[in-house]
Amino acid sequence: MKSRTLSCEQTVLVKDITRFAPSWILYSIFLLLMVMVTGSSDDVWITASIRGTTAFSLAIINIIYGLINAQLLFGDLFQSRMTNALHALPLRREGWFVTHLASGTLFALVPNLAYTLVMMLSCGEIPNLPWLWLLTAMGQYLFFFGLGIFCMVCVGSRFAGVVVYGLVNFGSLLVLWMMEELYVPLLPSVLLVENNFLRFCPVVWATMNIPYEMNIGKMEQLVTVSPEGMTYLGILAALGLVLLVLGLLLYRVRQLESAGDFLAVPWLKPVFLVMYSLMLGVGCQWILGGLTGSDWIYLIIGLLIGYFTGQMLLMRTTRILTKKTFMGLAVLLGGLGLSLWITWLDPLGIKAWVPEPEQVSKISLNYQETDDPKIIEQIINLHSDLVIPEDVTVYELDPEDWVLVTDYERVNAVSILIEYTMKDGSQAGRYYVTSNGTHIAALRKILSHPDFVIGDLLDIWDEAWIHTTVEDGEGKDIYLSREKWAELKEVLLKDCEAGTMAQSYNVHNNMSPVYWLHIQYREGEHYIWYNINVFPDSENTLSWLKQQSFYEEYTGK
Amino acid sequence: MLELKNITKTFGDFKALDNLSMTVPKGAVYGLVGPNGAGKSTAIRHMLGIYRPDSGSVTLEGMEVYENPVVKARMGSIPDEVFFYPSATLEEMRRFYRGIYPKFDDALFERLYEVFQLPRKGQIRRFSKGMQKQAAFHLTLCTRPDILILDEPVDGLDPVMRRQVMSLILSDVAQRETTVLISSHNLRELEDVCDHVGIMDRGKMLLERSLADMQGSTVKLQLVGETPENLNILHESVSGRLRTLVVRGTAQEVTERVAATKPAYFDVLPLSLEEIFIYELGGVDYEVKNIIL
Repeated sequence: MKSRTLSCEQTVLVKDITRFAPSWILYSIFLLLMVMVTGSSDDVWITASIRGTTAFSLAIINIIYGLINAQLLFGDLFQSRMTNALHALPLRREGWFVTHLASGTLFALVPNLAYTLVMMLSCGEIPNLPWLWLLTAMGQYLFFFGLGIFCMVCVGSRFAGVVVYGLVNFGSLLVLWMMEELYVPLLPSVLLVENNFLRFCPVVWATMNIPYEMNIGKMEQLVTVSPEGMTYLGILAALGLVLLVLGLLLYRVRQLESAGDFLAVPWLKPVFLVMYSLMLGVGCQWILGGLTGSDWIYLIIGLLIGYFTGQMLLMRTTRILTKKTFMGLAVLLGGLGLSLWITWLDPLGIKAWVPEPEQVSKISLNYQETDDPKIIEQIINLHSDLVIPEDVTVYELDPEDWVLVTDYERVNAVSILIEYTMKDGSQAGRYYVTSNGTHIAALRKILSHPDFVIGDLLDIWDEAWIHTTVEDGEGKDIYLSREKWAELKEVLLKDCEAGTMAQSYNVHNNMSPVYWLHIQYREGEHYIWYNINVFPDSENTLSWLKQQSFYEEYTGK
Repeated sequence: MLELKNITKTFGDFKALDNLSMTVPKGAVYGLVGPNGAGKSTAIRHMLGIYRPDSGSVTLEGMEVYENPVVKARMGSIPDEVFFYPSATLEEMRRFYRGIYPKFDDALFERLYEVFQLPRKGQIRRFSKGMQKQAAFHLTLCTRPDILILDEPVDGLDPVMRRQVMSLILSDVAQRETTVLISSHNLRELEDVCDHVGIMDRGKMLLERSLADMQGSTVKLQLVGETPENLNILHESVSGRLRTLVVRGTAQEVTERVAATKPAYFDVLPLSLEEIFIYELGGVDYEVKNIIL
């Protein structure tokens, strides 16, 4: 008899395909409906664009389909009679695993291949779109199916399978939420960068970053491969393979008597218990604490509920009040308390951290991005000034010098949001609210840089003139001559240099702009709008505008 | 020969098998008996390579059973609760078994339709419990196993079908020297078919011997008169002047010792398997207690 190690068992494969036909048939019908809906336009470009855009929903489809197939194919492990009967058959576990894996892959590959072929027939002019679709669909599916199988091998029941799959998929968002609720309040000014967490939530990240971009406006480049999206897809697919290998290793050592238990892998039990307890604790604090202001009481209540109900789930009994259980609870509470205390002490100096300019590749200051080393240095200098000395609390400062990180905002306080993208790819964020005049002046000066005020328009200023208008704010277009256009640039740059052109009203002592420049210009075949606010302290621009006849025409002054 | 050596298996804090060793000789019909919770089904799952022991080994003719398809293809089993793919018909299960078991006998499968008379196309899950058991026999016998492991095999079958099934098994033993292990609480039926018996209790093997040895080494003694000394008495009861003793030893040894004391009356009788089971387990605190509710 031939060795069946790591070989696909044809009889089981056929059984899988026939037994779970409803799943892949429904999926095929779904894709067929997508073909009909997305191919409804006579215009091939529009059809292709819609098809490309529907790829955004692929991650959502795959997260569900991957789970369903993993549950169906490995669900026999959850029923002791079934799993015993099947594992008494002369097949190695590797054989079962590889065969189910092959079945699950076919469940996705065949319908998607058919869909790709249909796309090729109707999108012949854009040959790479169908293949990119197939690559995206299968790359994502490989991850979600791999993760699904890994979760199924770790658990002992279908319910637990769904719970663990959900926790792993959305774990990073849960961690973000728990950190924001528990730890961030202990680190004033520190801002968690969502992107750092979102990239670990594949369904969200993959939805935002499919490996290609559709641009119906650029016919010659309708499909553009996005390097970031392609890299992420590659990482997802590779992770899927790693999870499959881990799943196989766990399946090989799985104790079949765990069928019906909540978790089948003993070391996962404390991990689940901690995660589940914290989730309920923070949830309780979040929902009920906000109502009464008693955050910590509700956190503890939620933790206790989470811990004991988690124990009930794991032990499948309500009789959980044992010495061992209470010791576990003590460890959980002690660990949480210790971690909060250490966070409050901030031994790593997170609150006082300011990067070196050479470490930073990009900064976003109040949502204005720059990679100019000079501006980066100015922003870092401002950041250094904003950091409160370790031995001074915010309340000991003169109210004029408050640098706040709470929601409390004074009339003249200014919010400063700094988001760093480091050269190693990591991100960090800080948030301050200050009413200190020096800080505000420094901020106004930085934000008055031409890159922030005029942006890309500065580079094409001379070419942009041809179709340039200045709108008066009431829908009336005023055309500038070429000479006037050049003068406008000059006065704008003067005000930028003077540091009075920052576009946010709050750095101008909450004064409203007195004039809005709505500039329309043409770039290629597209019209682009650009807005510049002119504040009362933007003296040069304001004075120039007042000298122009259209200013009087507009204002009546 | 199927051999379990020092198998230990724990479920959480519960030790289901405690250093269990047993040997099923080739061609034997082995009866595995024991009280509820003794660990018989757990032992069977180890024999079938379903459970991985914490320690110890299960071998068939020297080859490890666990994760060994070559060995498992030579084994057939009927669990206490049979299970089939949901919505599968007998014919679908035949195709499945044919693909899995290299020695699957299609001709025998056709012949067995005459014995069991089961519908070919009806879904097995809609069969009665007895019919499902018959379907399990129908399929398992056709895999032509060298060793057949049966857990409560005739449970749910009517008396005629019980005999029919047992007759099929025994004819297979006679024709192909199939080794059979039967776990059952029906000791009277086991006694009719088994030639070897193992008695388990609390995860351990209490006693394992051929039935002839077992019946020959323990006898029932009925006598009128004083109980002789130098007898290894497992159990004693008195009814009027008649004493009934269960004594370890061969019939000849016991007869000689009792005759020497010249009682008014005595008779040495063989024990049934049920009596051996009850008296052996009585020695380990598993006796029938006279409780009046």
